Amino acid sequence: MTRAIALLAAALAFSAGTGANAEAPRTTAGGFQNARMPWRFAFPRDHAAHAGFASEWWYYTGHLRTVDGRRFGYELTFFRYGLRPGDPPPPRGASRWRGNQVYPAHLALTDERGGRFVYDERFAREALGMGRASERALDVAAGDWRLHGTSPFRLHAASERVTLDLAQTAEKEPAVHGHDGISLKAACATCASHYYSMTRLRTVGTLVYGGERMRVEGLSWMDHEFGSDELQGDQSGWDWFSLQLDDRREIMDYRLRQKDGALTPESSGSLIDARGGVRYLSRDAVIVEATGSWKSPHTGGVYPSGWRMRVPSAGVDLTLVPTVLDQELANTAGGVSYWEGAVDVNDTATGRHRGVGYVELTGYAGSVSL
Amino acid sequence: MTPLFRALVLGPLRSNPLRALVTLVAVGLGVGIGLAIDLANATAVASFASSVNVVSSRVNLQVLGIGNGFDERSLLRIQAVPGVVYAGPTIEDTLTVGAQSGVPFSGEILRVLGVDLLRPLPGRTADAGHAPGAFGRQGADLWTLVNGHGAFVNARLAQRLGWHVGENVRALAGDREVTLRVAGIIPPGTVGIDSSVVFVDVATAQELFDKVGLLDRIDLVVDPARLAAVERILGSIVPPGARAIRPKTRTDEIARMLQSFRLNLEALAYVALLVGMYLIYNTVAISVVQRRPEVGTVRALGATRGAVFRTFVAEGLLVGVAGSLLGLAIGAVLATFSVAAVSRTVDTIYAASHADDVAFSALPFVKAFVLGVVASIAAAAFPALDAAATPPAITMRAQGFERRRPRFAARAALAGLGSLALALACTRLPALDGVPLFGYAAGLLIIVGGSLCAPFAVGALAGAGTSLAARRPTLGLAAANLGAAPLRTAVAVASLMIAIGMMVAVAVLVVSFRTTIVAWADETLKADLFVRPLGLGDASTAARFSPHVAERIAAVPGVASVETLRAVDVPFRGRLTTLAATDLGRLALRGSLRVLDGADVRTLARALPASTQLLVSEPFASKFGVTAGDAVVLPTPAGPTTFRVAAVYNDYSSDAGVALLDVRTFRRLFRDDSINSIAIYASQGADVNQLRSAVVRAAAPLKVDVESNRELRALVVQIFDRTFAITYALDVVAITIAVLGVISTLFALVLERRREFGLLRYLGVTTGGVRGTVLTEAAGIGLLGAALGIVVGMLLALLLIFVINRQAFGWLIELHVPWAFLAETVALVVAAAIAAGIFPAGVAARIRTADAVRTE
Repeated sequence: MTRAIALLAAALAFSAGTGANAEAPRTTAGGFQNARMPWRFAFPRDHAAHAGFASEWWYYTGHLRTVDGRRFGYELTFFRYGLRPGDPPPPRGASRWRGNQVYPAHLALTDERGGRFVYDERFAREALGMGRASERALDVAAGDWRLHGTSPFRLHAASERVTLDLAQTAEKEPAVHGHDGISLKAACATCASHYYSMTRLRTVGTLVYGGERMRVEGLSWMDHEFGSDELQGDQSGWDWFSLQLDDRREIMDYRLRQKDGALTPESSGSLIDARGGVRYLSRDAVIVEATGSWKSPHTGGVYPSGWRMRVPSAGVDLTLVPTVLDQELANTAGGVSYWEGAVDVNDTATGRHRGVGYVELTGYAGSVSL
Repeated sequence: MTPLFRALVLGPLRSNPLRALVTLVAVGLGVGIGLAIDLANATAVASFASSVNVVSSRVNLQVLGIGNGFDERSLLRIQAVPGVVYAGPTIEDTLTVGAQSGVPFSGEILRVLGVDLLRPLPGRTADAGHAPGAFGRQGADLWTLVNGHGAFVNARLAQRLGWHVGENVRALAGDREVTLRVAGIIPPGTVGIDSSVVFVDVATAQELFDKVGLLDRIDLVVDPARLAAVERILGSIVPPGARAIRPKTRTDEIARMLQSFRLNLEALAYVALLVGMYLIYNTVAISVVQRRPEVGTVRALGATRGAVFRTFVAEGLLVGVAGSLLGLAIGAVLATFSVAAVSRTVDTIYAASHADDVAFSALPFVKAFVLGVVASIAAAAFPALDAAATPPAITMRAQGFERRRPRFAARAALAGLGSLALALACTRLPALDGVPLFGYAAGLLIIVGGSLCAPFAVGALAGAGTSLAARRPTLGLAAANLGAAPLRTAVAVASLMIAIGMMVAVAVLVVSFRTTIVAWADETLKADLFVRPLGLGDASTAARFSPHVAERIAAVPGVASVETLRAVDVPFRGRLTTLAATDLGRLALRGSLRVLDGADVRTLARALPASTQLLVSEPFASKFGVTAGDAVVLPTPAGPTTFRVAAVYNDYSSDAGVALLDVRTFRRLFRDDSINSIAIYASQGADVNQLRSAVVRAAAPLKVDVESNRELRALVVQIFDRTFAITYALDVVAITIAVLGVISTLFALVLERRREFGLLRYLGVTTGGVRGTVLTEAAGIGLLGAALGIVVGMLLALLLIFVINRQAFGWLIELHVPWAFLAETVALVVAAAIAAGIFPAGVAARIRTADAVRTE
């Protein structure tokens, strides 16, 4: 899924400015690999980094529970941005601070019992080994935050208030979104990404929070996406949903909003069945209505808060309730504010608990012009 | 507003608007010049401080290295300390642009800050849509910032140098030409006030300044609640020689480095206000005399003494408030010029800074206003007291005040002598924390003492004039007039005295200092050629040479030997001082060393090389109270190191003090073989001009300027003159105010004696005679002011040279009096005083006989 910092990626890369019906070029105007080309995913190789693309991220969200029943939501994301395609070797005697990649990372924890939300970020470049993303195997680092290994995936992040150490085992194969490995984001000839999710990751580990060291276990979701020039200027933001249902189905849906309020035709999703089969959901196959709103005291942004999501073709009618209202990452280092939070998923008709989810909302706090 | 005030003060002010205006302007100038200097000083400090805080106002701790910096890998250790929110790697160095070969001062120094440009600065909430990076996108592509020597420059600088985004520009990093790519323009006011700051990525900075693998400092944002704990932890993990300090500490060190300079300038500036005070005194005193009949009337009608006192103080207050307000405006306007002048001086003698904007803050304005008003009230209080003290019966008569106190002049003169004695006592007291407070007090006492002697001198002059009256009636009349109002005349004389005194003092100081420095330069600068960075005024630490330049030059045929100097700033006892390294053995043997305290030169030449003994300059010794044989501990990259002071030597290169270490020891401890200046000695019989060309060729393609001995000595004098340029400007202002005072006094005397002048005309004195009388009075005031001014000025000069400069800067200055210059300028000021009489004289001459005598 295109995620919060995708806006930054778009700003970083050179404007493509290509028309809607142009023949897909091999590279973007900036010279990076174009993601609007078919991609045959192969794992574990594709868990690793793809430096030919301008931007890439590994997004982990999940729901954790302690032995005594305390519930926490978390988000841990590693980003990679390439500054220029085809990195020429540095001259002799060059500074070690030169480099062609930057690695921001975000960590957020939702304390559902305490009703609190804390977040922190890292920003690393390659100098002194602080930031890296291996192209051979999954091994990403931003400062002392790290992501590596494959089944289990190992995550480590430590901030002032939160230390998270998790190991995650995949219960399903990766779910590739879109068609032919292409996840469309807008009409332009480069507006796409390669995007897959690990939708059911059994998670165990430790959480240090509020002076307490806790054993936690739960369920996580991982998104890995890479592309070069994905969004178009008339897009104002997006809403992204990931739902993990108790019946072992999962739903992912992204809804790209245009400045005129309409959803772009490329908005779409996936329904993953209990055995791991992926069904493409077009824009109109999913109906989402906001049931409330929340005004951020940090940025003044007004976000939708609470939703009803229906997928008539799959007999889905669910209500999404944020576990904590304020799950906004305000003014991150990139200057972007976004809401990324844990939700409870209930049956709309009966109100019965049906699962858990995560929602991401961008473009509500200030304009996110490209 | 009381009716009393309206009657006694506003009325006269309205009827004499011109005199009121002159006083206002004088007070305004006094307050304004003080304010302008204050603002300039504040700006000088702020422009340094801004470079400390430039990365973010949230930076609350810094790890500072010394010399060439510390290993960049310490960043990992430091940013891992719990409580550290942000750790920004930083390089701080300078580039020169616009340098022309052979033209000192032709280059402009840019202060370059190398920071992590990819990373948003802490607390700088970028607008949404901005890319990561210190300044948002600004059209810059990040790859160029990191790998292509991209730079962000201030809009003002870009305009000044004609730089545009996307353009490659050239600059000098020491002796090497480097290219930067203008990646973005920072709007003015975004980052501090110093437009000469250029931002590059830390990668670029390391490469530009040959500091790959090194950092000069790390800017930290630390959780305020854990600041003390983090500071403590950092203290044990920072690299040797580096220290973790709060930005305030650094700003304080810089402020302290500039302290003596700032204080001296400010003291001079407020002398102008003092002169303005005399004018207020004069205005109110004249007002009291003129209104005496009215005062008598109102007193007779039942007005209390207090009411009369308050009324005349209110006049001083009115003038003070109006004049001070005018002064604030004048100061704000003048600040633009004074900032340029002060920053040029600071630039020349301390470090590169380029403040384009005045660092306006409320405090200097409040300070100037309060000073102006308080001074005005104080000045008005004396005549107001006098007005209040006189009983109704006496005041009904027109004359009185001056004549009632025949012994006043003698008593005042005695008090004046007492004040001078007290001044002498003050000169015996030491400086307080490096501030020659008692020295300044002595200066004030000298001025007060001189002023108190003025009435007596006026009386004496009037007496002498009267005795000559038989032969020259004009002279007699003038003498009688002056003698009739000795106090008011004395005030005009005193203000002129202060202005002339200040001029004399500064002239004597400057000439003495200059002569001393020229002699010092002659004795110590012995090399035939000197190499300095292209386009800069001096071989400061602003630019470095690579070590192989010296080797290449040494290989040039005709070069007998080459000596190098490396200087780094090191913190020592809460101040910044200079640690310099050269070949001490050769230095001693060459006879370039004037040892003031310690072993003789031969012993030094044997003992110093490769040792941990060092030489300290006289300012260093006096500033830190260090003498030969003492041990001092200085920070080095090898850790704090104890050095023994082998000797104190005579030096005028830095008032921050210099500790001189042998180059071998320095290189061992600092692992730094770069060079700030090179001295070349020619072989016997070598042609220096040819040698110079050969040296320039040998250094190519590195860019250096090579100067002859004579040129360097001329440059020393030029630098000296630049530093004193602003002092001359202050002199001019003080004299202007004093001349305004003479106009004001004469004008008042004329108006007050309308009837007498009318009577004189009635008795047959020609208009020319009246005019002559007034001009003679002006000449009398001018001559007396000059005579007293020379005496007071010489006393002040002695004070400046032997007490204030000695205590504040540690300079040893030999006294040299520029008699001819003094004679010329004093003659000029007397002429100006006489010229100041022209207008009042004209008024006196126009007084119509009939009008004036009607009341008689």
